[in-house]
Amino acid sequence: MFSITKNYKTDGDEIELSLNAKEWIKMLPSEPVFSEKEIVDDINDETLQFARENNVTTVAIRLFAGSDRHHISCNFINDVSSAFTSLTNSVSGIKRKQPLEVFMKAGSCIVNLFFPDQINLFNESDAIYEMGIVNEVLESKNLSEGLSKVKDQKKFIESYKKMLDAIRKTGSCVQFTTASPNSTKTKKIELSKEEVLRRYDYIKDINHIEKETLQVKGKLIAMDVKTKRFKLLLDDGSIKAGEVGNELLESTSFELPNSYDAKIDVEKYIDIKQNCTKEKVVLKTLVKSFC
Amino acid sequence: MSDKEIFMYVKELGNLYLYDVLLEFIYPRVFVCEDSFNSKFLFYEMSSNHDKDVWLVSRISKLEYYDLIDRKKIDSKNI
Repeated sequence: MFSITKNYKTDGDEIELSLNAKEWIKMLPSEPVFSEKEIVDDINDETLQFARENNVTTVAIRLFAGSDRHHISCNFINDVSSAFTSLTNSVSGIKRKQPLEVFMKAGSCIVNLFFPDQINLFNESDAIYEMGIVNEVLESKNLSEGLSKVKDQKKFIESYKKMLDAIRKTGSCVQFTTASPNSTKTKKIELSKEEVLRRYDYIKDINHIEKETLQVKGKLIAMDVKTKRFKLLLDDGSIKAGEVGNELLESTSFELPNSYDAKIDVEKYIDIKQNCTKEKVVLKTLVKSFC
Repeated sequence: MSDKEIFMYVKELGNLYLYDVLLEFIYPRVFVCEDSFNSKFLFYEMSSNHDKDVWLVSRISKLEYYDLIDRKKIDSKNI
């Protein structure tokens, strides 16, 4: 290792190479120059400032750890911005006049996306609502939790898959920071690279989700409060098994085995060939049956 | 190399060409230069003033280390 010094002079710059770089080496930081917290704070401040100054809802997408450099490819930027444009469009089911705009600093691992239009009298835009739903889905472990509020679910799933795929390919963890023009603080969501991969694997074959609510009668034969699982033996001899809704666990006591009238939500994950690949069953209510 | 703009001439190393800037907006700035024989040098900014800049420079001695600073290769791997 050596040092190079460049002296700027009016009659031509002087460049010196010195093999004695020990003094400079001593000055190298032993710890990372910026702590994780400092970077996160900076992103918060900058995203909030950008949103307020430009009157636009802004999303900062940051890749970190796992990607060993402060760089993201053009492909990533294109994929993520087009995925986010259709993701937010599909929430209201209305096509935005212009795609989301991209703003980023050279050499940075942060892509800022902002919404170009739809500011109303109160300085609010559909963007705030759309990002609220997108964030709800990003926050929830299961895709279906926020999905019920989305108008064009098929397109949403397709865009969500595309976005996860782009992030997955970088091998990085990701952080989404959202700020709107009127907000005083940002919304932060972080996904580890393992979580990105898990969600991608979960959703990659799904084309759309079909939901139905069933009213059934049967005998409650198993209930595990800890793992929130149940088994119901229906009158026709078949067994319905699945998860127990949180509200139900908090509000009801159960007797085993006993006959109940049950309300069950069934979500069917349909793939491109219209086959049902997964089925999620959630027990919503249980009422003791007297007949 | 002749079509590239000379970034710096150092007596001991000859002409250096800017290869890539790895960190530009975050201090300290880090960039890579290459010489006429495509040898790569990693520059780490130590101080920067209006009249004087000092960089610590490390010659990247092994070809396999080039992957670490070659964003084009990493991009193609990721895609």
